[in-house]
Amino acid sequence: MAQGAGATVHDVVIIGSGAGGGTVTKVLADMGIKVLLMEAGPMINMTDYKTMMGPSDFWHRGAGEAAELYTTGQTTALNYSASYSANIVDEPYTQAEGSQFRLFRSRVLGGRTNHYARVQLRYSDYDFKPKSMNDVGWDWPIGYADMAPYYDKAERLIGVTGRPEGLRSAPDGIFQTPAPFKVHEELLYRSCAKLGIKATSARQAVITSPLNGRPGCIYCGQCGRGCRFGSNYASPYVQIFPAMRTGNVTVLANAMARELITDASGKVTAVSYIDKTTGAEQQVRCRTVVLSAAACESARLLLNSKSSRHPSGLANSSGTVGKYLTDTVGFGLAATVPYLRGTPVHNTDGYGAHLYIPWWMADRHRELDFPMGYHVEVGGGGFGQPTLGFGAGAYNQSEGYGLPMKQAIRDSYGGINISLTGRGSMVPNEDSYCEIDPGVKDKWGIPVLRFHWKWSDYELNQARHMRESFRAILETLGGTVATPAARGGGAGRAGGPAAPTGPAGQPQAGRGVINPPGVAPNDDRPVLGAGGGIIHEVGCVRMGDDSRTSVLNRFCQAHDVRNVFSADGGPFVSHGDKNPTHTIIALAWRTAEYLAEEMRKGNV
Amino acid sequence: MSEISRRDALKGLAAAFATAGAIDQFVAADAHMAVAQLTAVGPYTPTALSAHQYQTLLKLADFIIPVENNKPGAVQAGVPGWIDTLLAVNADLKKRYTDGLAWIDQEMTTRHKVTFANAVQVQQTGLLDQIAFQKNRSPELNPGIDFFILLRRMTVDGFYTSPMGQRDIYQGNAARAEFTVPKDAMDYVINRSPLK
Repeated sequence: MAQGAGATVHDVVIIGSGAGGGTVTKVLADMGIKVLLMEAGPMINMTDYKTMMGPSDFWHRGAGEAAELYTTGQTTALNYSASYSANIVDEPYTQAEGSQFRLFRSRVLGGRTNHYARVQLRYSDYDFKPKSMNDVGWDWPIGYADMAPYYDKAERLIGVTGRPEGLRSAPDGIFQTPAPFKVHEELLYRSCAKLGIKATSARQAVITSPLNGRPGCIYCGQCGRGCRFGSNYASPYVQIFPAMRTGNVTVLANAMARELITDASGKVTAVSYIDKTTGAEQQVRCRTVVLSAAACESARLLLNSKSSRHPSGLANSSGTVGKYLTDTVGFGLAATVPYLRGTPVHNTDGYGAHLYIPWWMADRHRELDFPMGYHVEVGGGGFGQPTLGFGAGAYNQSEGYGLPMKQAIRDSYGGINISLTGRGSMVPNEDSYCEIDPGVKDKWGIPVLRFHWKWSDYELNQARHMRESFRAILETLGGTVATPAARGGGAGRAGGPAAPTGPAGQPQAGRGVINPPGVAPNDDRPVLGAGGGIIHEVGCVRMGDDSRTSVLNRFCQAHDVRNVFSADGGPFVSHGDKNPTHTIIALAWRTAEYLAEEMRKGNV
Repeated sequence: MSEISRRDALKGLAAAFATAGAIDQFVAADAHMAVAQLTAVGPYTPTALSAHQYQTLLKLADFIIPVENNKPGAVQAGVPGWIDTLLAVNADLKKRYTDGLAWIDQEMTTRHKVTFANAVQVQQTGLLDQIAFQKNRSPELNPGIDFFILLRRMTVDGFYTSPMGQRDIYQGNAARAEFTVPKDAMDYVINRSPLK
């Protein structure tokens, strides 16, 4: 029974305050519905955002509290981040043997929206339908037409830069006027054009003109710290603080959800949580609950909510909670571009990248040995903020002192590299999932997750395509490509791609012309990092029309428990190449409207 | 700057940030300037080095990054004080400085019967022109060369991470109404590229 729970029954308890929880909070509060928002970390304030601070705002400037940089060489990162990860060592996770997975948690109001790169892309029609389009993975129960109105709503609220292009791989939205390309981006634009690839303005959750009481961007380039001025998207200042001003929101910070409590009918009646300030276990009673703890943590909560009625965890009669976990395929390549040296010094901060390259082969998949696409994010050039070690290359070479040395430092200022970073679609597979580790609990006594991870040939083949296309783009603009990471004999050598000398793999049934590549000894594909490394993990609580193979229905309501909803990356059935935040927000918005309507009808 | 004035300055920064019930994009920039002014001016009383050692450090820092066309150098940017605060928390580092400064004084005394700080400029640069270059390595000069490498590194670090030093070369971290790319910069690159 709900011991310790107050008498209040909250209409909606939202667990987690990132992109999903922030969106549900705002949408429901604006409708006049009272919500309780739980966050496992502390409250955040606008003064916590370290926008426009520099090294000298830390007394040691990065040399360390004991100035160890200058004796042991150990560096100390200056923490400008608003993404708290305090106490995370007390909340471990484990990895199955042979699996590599990294779970990035951010325990603070707003979660990872405080630090993310603000890449804000709509899914394409085919991203929702990989089975129909490419005969891999699973289709979502909804499609682009269902989501488009909610992408519109999200863009009207948060603001997204962009230029309409009419590309299938990059559906246009309601765009803020984008900033012009930086110098190295103009080079990339021209290089891509020469290769028949359309590059376009970056689509970032940044406003360049005032919107909903927030001022336009001042182009300080520090979006990743969270914006003290509110000119980009993070859930606290765009959604939660405005929602709090309606009087309909109660924020319960430092509350780590432990378990969903059900009654005899199987409905959730309360959320059990640890008050991190005291370590005591408490409960809040609820009419409905929304899981917004991020994909894996939401799955963990369901799996830990076992009862005689739900022996394998709540909402898990399908056995798919924790399954079909995906991340993004990440691969980067950089080139040195010597003629950038000497560029007149100017302010290059902006709002991060002002250009990106959408997937250019959306209608030519049959030519490829992988099923889904990728897009390319760019970096390079620029005149960055000096930090410790600034100018070391120059004065080490020229030595001396005084104005000649200072001139050498000045001459060396400015980046001469251009980098491309692929962000690719991963096909969900049976070998990538999380489950409860039966032997490990966190500091609060809550059983932790154990991860299983495997990249398939689809992802490895895609990374090889990234490498070769990036090489072409960088060499076309006159860059000298660094030797890329690769594996196997002869891989990654200078002078172009290794010839595929291995025997062709066996065609796999039902996968059309998509063939696995040559066998391992001749494998020239890049090595991919640990799963979760791109911090785009989604799935684990997937939607579907069939309750035997999915956790949620098409409105992100649990098939088994009608007063449980999900609003984070958990419902994702498959993972397009697009960074997930925009789709998390749009989907959460749709779920919140459905929840409100179901409450109005008395169905939940 | 002293630790007290720094703490006050940072408090001022926090207070300026906190004034905003409304979001004001210029508050931070103003607060930042206030910190810069507070931390860069005023006499610094060394805590790790003796008064004489600190005077020697001031002189050396001034040689490494001097005033240039009225643009502040390392001394004006408060670099010697920053170095002293680091020496105060690291005994090994402090010893390298006290040994290094003593070597410089001893060398100057041997050559000119005067300490470095009290020598005339031609005497001072005479030594620096030797120990500022690795090509002059010799058993006799090595202690001075090794110390100068450390001193130059920390002086450059301290200068370019100071508010004054940042403004010497870096145009960013500033509020702008519009993002633009200067035509001369774009032309410079495009005209050198194979894509013009």
